Amino acid sequence: MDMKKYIGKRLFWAIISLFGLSLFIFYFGRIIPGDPIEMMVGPRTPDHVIENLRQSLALDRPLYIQYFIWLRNVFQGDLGFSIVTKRSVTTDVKTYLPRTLELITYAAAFQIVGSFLLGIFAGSNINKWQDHVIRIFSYIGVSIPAFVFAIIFQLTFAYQLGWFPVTGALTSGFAHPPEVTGFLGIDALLAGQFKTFINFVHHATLPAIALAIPGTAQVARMIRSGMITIKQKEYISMAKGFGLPERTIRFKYLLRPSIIPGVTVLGMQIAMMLGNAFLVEMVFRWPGFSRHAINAMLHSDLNTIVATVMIIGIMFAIINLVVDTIVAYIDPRIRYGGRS
Amino acid sequence: MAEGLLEIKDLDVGYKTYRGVTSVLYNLNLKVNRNETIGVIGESGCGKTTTMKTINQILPDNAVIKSGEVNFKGKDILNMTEKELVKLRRRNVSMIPQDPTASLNPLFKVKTQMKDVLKYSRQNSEDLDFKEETIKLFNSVALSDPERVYDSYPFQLSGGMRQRVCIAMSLAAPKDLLIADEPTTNLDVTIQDQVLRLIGEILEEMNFSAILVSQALGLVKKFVDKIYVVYGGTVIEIADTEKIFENPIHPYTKGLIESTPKLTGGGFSSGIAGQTPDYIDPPSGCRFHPRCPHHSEDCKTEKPKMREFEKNHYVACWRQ
Repeated sequence: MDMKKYIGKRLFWAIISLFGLSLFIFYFGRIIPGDPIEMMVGPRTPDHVIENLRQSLALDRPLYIQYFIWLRNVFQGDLGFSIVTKRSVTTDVKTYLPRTLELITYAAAFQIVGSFLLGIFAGSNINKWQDHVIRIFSYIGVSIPAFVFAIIFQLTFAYQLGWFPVTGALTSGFAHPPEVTGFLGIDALLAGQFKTFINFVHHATLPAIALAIPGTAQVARMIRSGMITIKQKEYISMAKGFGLPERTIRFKYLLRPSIIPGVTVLGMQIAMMLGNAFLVEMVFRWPGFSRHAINAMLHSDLNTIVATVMIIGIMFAIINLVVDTIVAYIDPRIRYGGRS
Repeated sequence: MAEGLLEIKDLDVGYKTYRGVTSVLYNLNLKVNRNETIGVIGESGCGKTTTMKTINQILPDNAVIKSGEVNFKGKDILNMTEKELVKLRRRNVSMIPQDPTASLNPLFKVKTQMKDVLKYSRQNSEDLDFKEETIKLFNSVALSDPERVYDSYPFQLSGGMRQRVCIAMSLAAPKDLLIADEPTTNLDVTIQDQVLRLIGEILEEMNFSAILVSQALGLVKKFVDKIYVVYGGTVIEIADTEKIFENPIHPYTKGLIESTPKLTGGGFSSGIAGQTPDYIDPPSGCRFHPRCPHHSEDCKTEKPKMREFEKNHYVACWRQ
């Protein structure tokens, strides 16, 4: 099958672009204004201390040397030292990233299910009331940022109605499960602590929905318009002309070509959640990575910035690879490299 | 009087557009008898495809059927329920499309699409060996290497092969009426001839009634008993095939015959000046009058009625 070859090719280019990204971000991280050493130390630090610090962090060496030192360390799992948290960036990543990934995975699940249901429902009822209701939802969802939904949900469903916890990831009485994977939900399940798992999911629900809404709204619109476009294709009226039943046409011959643009954008939306999660994490005091990363940027914490960008880059690369594979599975013209 | 299979009476169809509702088909009348093959001729944009799509009700969503009747075996298609329409499409009316590339779904293999067509148009299709039936159909339309075609995606086939696949689909089950809507317009010249010959053979072998739609008179001459010339969404001349070539009456028919390029040379033909009408605000009276070299005042005000010029030869023109 050409599929393997296709994925291999995509993977190769993903690695190349990540390598390029690392060069790019490392370089820009070093030329932005603001001396990281001066940020670290107080105003009255003696010059020789500053120089020593500069040397020990290799900041006095030429840029390309700094890059290779950094790259070597990255492959050894050492992302450098954070001047904000005063500990290894790797430790920070291990602490904060899993929380955010869990939140995003949960939000992505909402996004996939929600956008497909709404999109197909609207696309099957064009210009009927169902379509209008979904259209209004989509306009609201696209035009209001996720953190506003976060605040509204928190005030309504957590604070007023008390259906969900207001902040945090676990109620204070619950002990953290023994760390195996670093992912709270998975660790809780592995340890058989179902109550902890449920409690965690309960905490994550509101932030996940808030985070999912803008992307859901956008992708639902794309699936709807995809269905409208494909509906006008000659092959749909021919399928009708040959007497195929309505449901076979809609869910087989119409749906498959209609979702391709939606799937691509859905992937982008999921990858972008890593950045968008920041304010939502702030609102719900979610102990996640986005919150930590923004804090690092405000303090010119170079190593954390570089690590953050690389993580986002890797996220994009992985999700793009997955999306490309799915799209190639849906559309044979891409698999066979012959777009006609 | 031969038994009528399909009879279209005073059909008016338009499309909703941003500028208003168009009036494409305008008092269109057409009749197909059992075992008769008719040709429908006219420039593109004259409403030929709209007429054909009205017959099995696969018009686009913005189409509006304003009035008229489309009687098939005595039953008006325009009053049929969705269920009856599906049955009509499965059992009675078959269509060979204009553009085979656009008419096959690009994301599904030929075998999948053929299977669904067979499954729903054949009776008792549960016990059917779909592959065997498909290969049989492919052989009947002279597709070379049917096994490969069976397992291919449409984009892996040539235009001619795609059209043969479409023809195979339209032959999937025995039907009463075959509509071939400009089946060769989108094909290479050499392939055009092969496909037309194939359709001719099919018409001869099977007892189809058929409508052959074309832009060029000469193309369908060999295959049809009677010719309907369509202009501006209405029929302007009807005659037996030989008669129309011997003695075309309507200026538009004359123009069409003259615009056929001749292989014997003689330079470009004169063609017909002007363009097909604007359907938002179509010309009053005879829709052809702005392009007609012979038009008079009557032509501008009143639509000419179809009158008998000689036996089996009718024309709608004020000119004597």
